[in-house]
Amino acid sequence: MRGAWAVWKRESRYYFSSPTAYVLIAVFLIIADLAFLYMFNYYTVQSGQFGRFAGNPPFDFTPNWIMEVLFDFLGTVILIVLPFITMRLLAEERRQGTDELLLTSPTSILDIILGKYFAAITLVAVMLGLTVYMPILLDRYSEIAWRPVLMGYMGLFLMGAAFVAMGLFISSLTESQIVAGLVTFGLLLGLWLVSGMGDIIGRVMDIFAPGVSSAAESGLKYISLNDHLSQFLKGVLDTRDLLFYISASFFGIFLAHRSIESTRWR
Amino acid sequence: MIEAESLSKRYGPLTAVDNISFKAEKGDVLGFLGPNGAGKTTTMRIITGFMPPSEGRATVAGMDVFEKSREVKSRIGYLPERPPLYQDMVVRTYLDYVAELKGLNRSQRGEAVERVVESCGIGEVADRLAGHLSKGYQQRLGIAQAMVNDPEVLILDEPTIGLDPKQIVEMRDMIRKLAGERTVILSSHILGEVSRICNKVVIINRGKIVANDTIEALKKSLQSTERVTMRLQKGDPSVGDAVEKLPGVKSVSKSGGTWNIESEPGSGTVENVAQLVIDKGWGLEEVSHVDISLEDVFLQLVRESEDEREAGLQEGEE
Repeated sequence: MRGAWAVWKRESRYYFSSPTAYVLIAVFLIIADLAFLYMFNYYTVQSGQFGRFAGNPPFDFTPNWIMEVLFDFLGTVILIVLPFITMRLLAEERRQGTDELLLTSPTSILDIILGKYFAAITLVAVMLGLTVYMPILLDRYSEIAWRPVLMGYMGLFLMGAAFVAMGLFISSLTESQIVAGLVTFGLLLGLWLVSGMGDIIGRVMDIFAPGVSSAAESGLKYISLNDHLSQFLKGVLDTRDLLFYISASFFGIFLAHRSIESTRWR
Repeated sequence: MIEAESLSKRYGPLTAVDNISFKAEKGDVLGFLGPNGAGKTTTMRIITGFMPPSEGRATVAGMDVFEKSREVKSRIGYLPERPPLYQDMVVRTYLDYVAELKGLNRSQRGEAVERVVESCGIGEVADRLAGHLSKGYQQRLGIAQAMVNDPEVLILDEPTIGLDPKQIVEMRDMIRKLAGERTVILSSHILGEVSRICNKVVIINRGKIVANDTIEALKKSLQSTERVTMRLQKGDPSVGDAVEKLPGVKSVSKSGGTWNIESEPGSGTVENVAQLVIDKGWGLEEVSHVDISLEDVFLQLVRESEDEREAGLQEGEE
């Protein structure tokens, strides 16, 4: 584990001693802030309308609604930002020949990969952490339920961690950062859109093979990365969702490990 | 200390290393010599545990490189052909990181880093970014990172490649100084370099060993023939025959205006030839002894192995 710690330190130092982390965090925060402002504004206007016309809002329209919508949106932003974090992790080592140093040192491949994985999810945690002022601000001027907010952060973090593990695997396959970044983005986007695909395929299959359609639909929805987020955002901890994200992380790390191991045998 | 037992490495249809065996005892400095693409880097990568061989095995200090990889790796210092530097890291931080990867604890690391900074002469650049160093300093830093865990075995892949002549001399001195009690394997395609630093040499070509001996033995094998060149003012058709009849002379040939004579060592050919030419009045312009360099042996060995290979191929076709 000492090796993993060494790698974690080196990667974190890299992130925060180069512009990479700052640029990514800045982009993330600017988008998040704009979205927050927009939602906040929308909420105040709408709730004013409901108050004036004495109608009950059609759903649970509390300040928590702002956070729920925002978190959902931040999931998309993480998807876009994340390939920039993971693309260099292993590709860069191979390109600059430092993989020879890593693989001939007494540090195990697993330690190296874990060090990198934890460094990248640390950066994700920092990004998310910097948005904490939003719920605090809402709570200061109104009242919010904290449980769904904390669960939302947890869900986003676990989802980010799963993204990192997949990005890490893709990065182990090539020595080109650009290729790694683009493929990671494509993969994550694919797994993101697959839930929408599930709907469409379900409808089409309803016509031709009514029996299988629901199975295909729920299968596609199951592997979709964002569908598992919705329960978290509502403040519900469903072990299925928890297990899904954790096992996605494990799977990505496992594949990355296999991939590094196998390149040596080629 | 280091032993390779019939190592082979194939990349698909290509055989990079073909049944190589050699041994380096404790304290040996073994030169691994061959033209580019001969399989030197592959062999070194196998010994360092970077990649497994397709066949055969390598042991360091009696331990199999793959079965006991962690123990072996902590005893090896390795400088790959391209020094494995992080461009964005400060020299001292980088060395500390490598030391940590190699399993040194915090108190050992500080000491180890200062030791290699001192012994590799990188004190004046120790606070600069590795990516900003000149090629010479990068190479030194590469050696420093290999030395940071005070390894028993040092493996250096082309340590002088890309350096200027002054740096090459400095690098050789440094390697000699650092070798000490350690077992060193270094690869090169320059024979002069190997003969200056190493006590043993393994020559490989196209993945096969063509010679495996001490430097002295190699030099001795060269001295099995003595070469003499001669230039005359007046040509005479009978020169060749006359010289060939001298005692100990094995062959005579002429290229341009120069005669090349090969003879048994110690048969006094220079003297005999000079006497003959003066007696016959051919007008002696020059007669001299030619030193056969290791370079020649190297080329000769490589050429012989190529010839054998071609002969083998032709047989195969028939």
